[in-house]
Amino acid sequence: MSNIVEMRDINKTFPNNIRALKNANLMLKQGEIHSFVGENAAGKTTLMNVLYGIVHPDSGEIYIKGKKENITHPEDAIKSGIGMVHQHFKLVPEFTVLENIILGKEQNYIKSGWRVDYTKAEAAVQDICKRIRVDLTLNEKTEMLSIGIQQKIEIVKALFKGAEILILDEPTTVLAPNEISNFLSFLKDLREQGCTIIYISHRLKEIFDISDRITVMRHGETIKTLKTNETTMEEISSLMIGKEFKKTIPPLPKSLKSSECEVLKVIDLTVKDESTRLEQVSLSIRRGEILGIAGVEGNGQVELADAIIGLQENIEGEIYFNEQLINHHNTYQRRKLGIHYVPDDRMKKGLALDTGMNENAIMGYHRESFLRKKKFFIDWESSKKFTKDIFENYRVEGMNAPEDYVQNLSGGNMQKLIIGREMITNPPFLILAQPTVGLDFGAQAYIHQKIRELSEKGISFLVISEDLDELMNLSERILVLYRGKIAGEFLAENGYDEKEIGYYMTGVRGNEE
Amino acid sequence: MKNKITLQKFIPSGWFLTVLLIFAGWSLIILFGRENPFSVFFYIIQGFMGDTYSLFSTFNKLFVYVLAALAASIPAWTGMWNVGGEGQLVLGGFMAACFATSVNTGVPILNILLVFMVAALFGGLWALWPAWFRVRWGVNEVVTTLMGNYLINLFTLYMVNFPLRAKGSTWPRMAYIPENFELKSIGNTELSYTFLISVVIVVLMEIIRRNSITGYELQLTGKNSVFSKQGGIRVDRVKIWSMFIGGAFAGLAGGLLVLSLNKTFIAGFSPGYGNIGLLISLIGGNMPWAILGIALSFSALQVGSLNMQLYTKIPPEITGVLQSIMVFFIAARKSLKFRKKTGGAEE
Repeated sequence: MSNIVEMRDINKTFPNNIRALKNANLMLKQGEIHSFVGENAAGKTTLMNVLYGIVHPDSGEIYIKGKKENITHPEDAIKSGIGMVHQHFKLVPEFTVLENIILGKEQNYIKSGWRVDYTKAEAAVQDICKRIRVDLTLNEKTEMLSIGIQQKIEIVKALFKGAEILILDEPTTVLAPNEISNFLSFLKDLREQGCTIIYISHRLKEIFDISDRITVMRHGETIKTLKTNETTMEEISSLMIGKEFKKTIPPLPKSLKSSECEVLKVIDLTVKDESTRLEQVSLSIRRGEILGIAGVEGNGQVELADAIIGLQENIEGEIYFNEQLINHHNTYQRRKLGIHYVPDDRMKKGLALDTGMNENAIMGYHRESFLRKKKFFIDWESSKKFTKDIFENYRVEGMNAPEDYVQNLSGGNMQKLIIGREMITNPPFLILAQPTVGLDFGAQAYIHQKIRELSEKGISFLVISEDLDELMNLSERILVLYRGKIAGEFLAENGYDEKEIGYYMTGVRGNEE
Repeated sequence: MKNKITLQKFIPSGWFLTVLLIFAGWSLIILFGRENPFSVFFYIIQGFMGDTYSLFSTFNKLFVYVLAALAASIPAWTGMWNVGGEGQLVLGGFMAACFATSVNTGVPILNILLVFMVAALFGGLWALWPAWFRVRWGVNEVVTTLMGNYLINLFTLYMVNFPLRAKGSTWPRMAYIPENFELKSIGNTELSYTFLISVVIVVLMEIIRRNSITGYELQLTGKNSVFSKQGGIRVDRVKIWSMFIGGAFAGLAGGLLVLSLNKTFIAGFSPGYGNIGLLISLIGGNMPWAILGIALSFSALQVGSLNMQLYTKIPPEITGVLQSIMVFFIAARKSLKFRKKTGGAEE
């Protein structure tokens, strides 16, 4: 087996003086699944962006099939047979599957001078689908399809453009648990068809399931490349963080007995827009309790969180906070009472990317007296101090100056900034939606640690997560949402059964219908 | 992306170069008109700052551009597009003239302040309903504000042609405003109070933009309204207010025009001030201090071109071409700078 791609001594320093890559190397063998692991901001995505021509390296050489290539643009990469599937899909929702796949290549399927020859194009796409054994209905509209299928469309699209080497950047973060194993076996199939795959992920379980070799990155350096069958998860973890990795996440301390006082009480909450999003949901959270909400994405979790914080319209039912009815409070008033919210989509809901870090850090506190001077003005000096506090206390990295745009941070650090912002003032109640998506082990453990510390101080949490391990580690009680209803309730003291909860999440059990 | 990178090598950013390119473009146009660019530049400069009178004329025209630009930029802070500055300005001017010709308190300062309020109020209201439609029903405010321009233009045109036309006027106009409504100049100079007013408003808006809680809420709403909503900002209210304030500035501009330069409301009251304001706001990046500078250059060109017309063969209509060349190069520079900033570190 020869190396199909070689990247040698790639260096990249970003304009904000962050050294993203330090002599990074990649030796990719023909027909392997090669995983890249590393903490947040270790340089995995940047290295892949170099290979795909999105980022231009300061120095270093790239060889493809033994030939030195100068890749300055994704077009060059595609010509050399490289395809990349981004974390966020780039499909046109109004187009059919077929139209999306041939988009950019439609010039090759023209008949009578100007019309797209769909029959011919469809035949070509069907060929690929048959080869890699995926079953796509090509004339369906893309917006109607699940995320799992959309991802397959992206992959077929890359293959259609002639890709032999696929770069997949955290492909499973968007998938529901039951879609993941399906997706992984699909990747194994692809490998049998001769595809070479670069797989970036945080989830060691998956990586060990599918990959042939693993490269560990740390602080922009490629530390080591190992054969999967010659290493262990423990070794990889310790390489990632650069020290011996202890399996942290201690079991829930038994001393933690939530007091009886109810902080939040929701009675018969129903949310309707075009269809019913939430139906007759009742729940209560006591002081210091961590309540977990499990469920596959899109089963009413966002609506529940939005209803509690006051962003959801058309709600029926009652919401009490500290025995006060807050249905008609607006978000500002609810925040003032002490309900804080970490939303599920950090880019769209949690930050304004093209504004300064300090401007993002003070959101929601900007009317508070500690950031105000002379009644109408923002005290920018205090805001900088406040920002630094968050960065120090929540281990956010990547700040040169507090005024720098927040988009200069890596995804994981953005998340830490949001969590830090909402937690740092110790509000009595926090809603955390997908709090650790995209965070590495160290950061994840650290956030969990913080959540536990605060809950022991009497702060209550509503944790919404798709990561069952996370919920089982954190919460004393888990409610499962399925199609807008509470399908089941599980208690930590009875011991959690992952399989059983999974049945309720997918609707196998619960909700008699 | 390939092309952008190479472009950047050929056009280094920097104001010096931008200005140089603008003058080069201007010279080219003037050469087409068979004139010496340097003498034309000289006449333009002489025209807008050759003596105190011309300098003051430049300053006295400034307010229209500044206020019309702010009418677009304050809503733009919150992500709203107010392309109806024209209509709001005309309505403000029309209502100011109506008020001045029908009500008279006898006290000049009171008269003037009341006209300010009336003009600003109606300008603001004409921006308010599109904002309300937007927030309540999601109607695109670009469409409504643009349509609003036509409504107001045709309505006022009808009014000055028929019901409110001054007797004996050859060109459709209303009666002249009484003398105790006229906005006088400062002291013994020719400098109008409108200059002072516009500078004060710019400074005030700049302070609000940079340092105030209101400015923070307005701008964050524009950057990401979902995020702002979560932070407790009442996004809908903020958007509606920003439109009202923007419209009020446009209306005030109309009112000031009536009180200072025009002394009445005539048919064809605004030769597209609102649209020029929108342009200035765009190239100034919605920043008041930048708007002041660009508005000054627009005003200078406008006034200077009158002198140019007297001494050269270049027709004054060329002013529009010169303005567009300036806009083109400033916009080009901005887009280059913008591209450099994107593409940050992701992981």
